[in-house]
Amino acid sequence: MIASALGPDSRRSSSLVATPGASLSIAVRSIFAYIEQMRKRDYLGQFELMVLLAVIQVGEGAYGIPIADFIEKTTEREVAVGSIYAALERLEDKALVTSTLGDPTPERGGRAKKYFRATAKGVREAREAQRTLTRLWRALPEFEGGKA
Amino acid sequence: MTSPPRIATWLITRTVIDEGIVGDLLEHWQRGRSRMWYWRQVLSAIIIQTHREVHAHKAITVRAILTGWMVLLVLFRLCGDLVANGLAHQATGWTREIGYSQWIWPPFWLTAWLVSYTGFAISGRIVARTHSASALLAYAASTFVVLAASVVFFGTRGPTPVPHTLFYVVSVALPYQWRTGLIVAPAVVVVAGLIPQRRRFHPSCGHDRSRRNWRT
Repeated sequence: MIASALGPDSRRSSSLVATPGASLSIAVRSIFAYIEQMRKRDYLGQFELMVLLAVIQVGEGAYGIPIADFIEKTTEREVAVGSIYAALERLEDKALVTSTLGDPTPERGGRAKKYFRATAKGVREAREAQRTLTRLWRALPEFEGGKA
Repeated sequence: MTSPPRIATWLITRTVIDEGIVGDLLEHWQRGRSRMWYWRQVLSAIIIQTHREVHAHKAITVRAILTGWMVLLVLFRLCGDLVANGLAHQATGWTREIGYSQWIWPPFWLTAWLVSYTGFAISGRIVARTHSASALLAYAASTFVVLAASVVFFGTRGPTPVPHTLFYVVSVALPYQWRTGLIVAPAVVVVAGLIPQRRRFHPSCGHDRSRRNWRT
């Protein structure tokens, strides 16, 4: 399973080992690589999904402030600007959003706005998350008196 | 419209890499957010970024922390006593032995205090010159942890001799220095590390090229 997850290179390197120490080292590295691969394939977190949906909803001109406003209005909670950017950075790493820099403005102390846009993959992921969550909700029994 | 809290703005412009965050916070402020809101956002942005950077670059963080502590220990070992006792002697004419035997401690407390904070400032400066702002904050956090541990260790054991090399490190957290070091020492590390950094902002790319970035 691990070898298949890591691809043909790991299988080839495994067949070349001769000493027990080297094979142990490769096994340990393989386990870490497998864990890392599983981590990268992780599902969208709740906050990441909220930020992705906000980017999609705001559309053109989505930068930190409209995204924060949208989330605050929807959730009726204060959000940390830093956490929005951290989520956007993770989404960008997963190629679910792209960013471009605008022109610097005086009210921002000469800093440029960073505009975000959902990629086709991002929109697909959001739809997939919606389908998955809907299926999970349907699987739940009816709520009665606030308890499932 | 009043200007945003200056210290908070200074802190975030020197520690947070993403110019978008800084610009957004300033724009929020222009819309009438409170000082409390601004400070909360600044501190949370710094903590979130530091956590992310440290998590992504563990080896560099460990190197930064080791660099800071090596500088501190070498400085205190080589010239701690020399400077502290020399200054006290210059000011009062007493040697340390006379001062301690006659219970005239204040000049020696003051010079030890001065040497300690100077050492923390120099180590912060060196870590900032060789690492990123997030690594500097990680080193500052490590000084807080060590000093807090020393308060617990020396505070619960009663009068315990402090190892010579560690004296100037832990002295600022000992009762006779009013435990000021717990907060002041990490603050000195951060301020000394950040003050000398001159920013050269490039609007074309939105990045501050004067700062070291983990990714470069």
